[in-house]
Amino acid sequence: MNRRRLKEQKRFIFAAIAPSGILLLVFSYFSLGYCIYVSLLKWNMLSSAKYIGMKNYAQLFVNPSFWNSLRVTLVYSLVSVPSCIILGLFVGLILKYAKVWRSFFRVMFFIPVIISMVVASLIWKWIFNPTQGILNYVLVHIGIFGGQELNHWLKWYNDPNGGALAALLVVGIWKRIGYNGVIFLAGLLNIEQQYYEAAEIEGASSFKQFWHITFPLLSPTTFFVLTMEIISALKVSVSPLVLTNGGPVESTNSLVLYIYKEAFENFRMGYASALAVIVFIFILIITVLQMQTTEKKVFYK
Amino acid sequence: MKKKKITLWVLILYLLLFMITLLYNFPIFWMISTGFKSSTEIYRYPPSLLPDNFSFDNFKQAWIATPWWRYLINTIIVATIVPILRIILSAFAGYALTFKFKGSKIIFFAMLGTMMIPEETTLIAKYIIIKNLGWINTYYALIVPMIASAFSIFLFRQFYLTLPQELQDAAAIDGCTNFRYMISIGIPLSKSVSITIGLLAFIDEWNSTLWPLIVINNDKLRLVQIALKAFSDDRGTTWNQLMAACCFVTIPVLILFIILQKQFIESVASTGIKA
Repeated sequence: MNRRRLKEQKRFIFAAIAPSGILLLVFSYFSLGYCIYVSLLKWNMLSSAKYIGMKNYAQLFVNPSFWNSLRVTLVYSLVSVPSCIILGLFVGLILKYAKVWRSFFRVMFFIPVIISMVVASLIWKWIFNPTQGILNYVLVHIGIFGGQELNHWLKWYNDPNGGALAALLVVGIWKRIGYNGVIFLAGLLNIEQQYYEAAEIEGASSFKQFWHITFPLLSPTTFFVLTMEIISALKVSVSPLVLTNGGPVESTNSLVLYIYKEAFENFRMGYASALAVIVFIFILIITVLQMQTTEKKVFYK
Repeated sequence: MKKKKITLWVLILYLLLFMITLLYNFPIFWMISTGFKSSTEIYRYPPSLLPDNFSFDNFKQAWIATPWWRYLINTIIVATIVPILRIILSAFAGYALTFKFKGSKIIFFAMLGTMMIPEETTLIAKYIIIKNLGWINTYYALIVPMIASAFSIFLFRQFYLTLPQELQDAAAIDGCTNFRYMISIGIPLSKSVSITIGLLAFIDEWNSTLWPLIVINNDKLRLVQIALKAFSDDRGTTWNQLMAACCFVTIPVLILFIILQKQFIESVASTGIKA
């Protein structure tokens, strides 16, 4: 009886794990390994592949387009990560103090999060429109744009020296503030009220309370958001695809968009795979750093 | 004295909150508002906040221009099959991983390890695999690679670990096999985990763009996001129709979100899953 049950259990465990296990194996580990293998090939999917060793990597490091897209992605990350964290924390804080209607406001802050990146990019593209967009109207109206160089300023969105990237940043940050706000709110509500009560008795100012209680005790949340933000910034791809198609003059050609274009528009599978391996290494470093720091515990409990 | 100060502070806080909320959701408002405006009105200077009259012309024209119903159905099919299969497979795998057996730890950590491999970096390899399977331009390409999720398995495992052992023992005494136990007790009990995973998977699939763009080039099998991108490439300057099309694509998720908002936000806040 017991033996039969044990046998049944064994079979059950195998059957229950196998489907997910096989799928994860194929579409994660095998895919990664395959990607590394393809990165050693010269292959356009039509003619047969040719083994060329590390040549794709060598080519990559001398290709200005690679350095450009690396720079674009880094600049994007450097602006978007701190902005998303600071603005998200700000939203979390005001939501914490707004006890009445909190769930209503939370919903409102979450709407941009759930809409798709394609829709978000298209709406902003319309808002950014140089001649008919409402943003330029407002900027001219309140006097930020004006004077003799007005026509130059109106075209900021098509400017390869930062204008187009700024447009991308607005969309990306806009879409992530609400998410971070909700995460920060959850983190803030987890901090026990008694710390603040004690500080109140000691006569600590609000700023001191924030700096000595909220900030340190929130650090696990902040750290989590930081990692998520960096990874998401490194993967930015759909917004440049829809908003600018990587242009003008590659000024918004992020790493992942560059992979996509090389692989599925130019069919340089090997070269694109080499790029993908590089991006993977970046993300892996950040994930490992996160895991190590989380293990050491960021907070002082 | 102190009380008065607090009331004023609360008033300012709420005023600020209202203004920020309005500003933050302005693009959503602008999408809907533009969708109703006539072609002359969208080019008017200064722009009007609300349309002169709410006409559904743009919605009608945008709806006729592209077979949206087909794309919506395609997307609904993919965005419901993936969550359902993901819930079932992950529940079974998560439950099986609560047992201690030889290699259980290795399998568990190997599964978690897949979370460190972002989808974007394996696009090319996955594309080649799908192509070799002959699945380009099929539903399989959209569904099969998305089913398994290490994070969902993890959530289910954590949930099943909290259930009392007595429950399983009692079922075993009654001669209930593990499979029967899962079907009649395990899965029904994990309703909240299932809803969390299902909702997030639904939105993920509804909004997915890069993968369907790569594996589908047959017009009939397009998903809504791709159809929307194609629509915008075709008629990028008729902003009112484009915004109306954006509404078609967004409204189904928006309704689902508003109905299930509490469940939804709480699951995101508690699990911290990417959204």
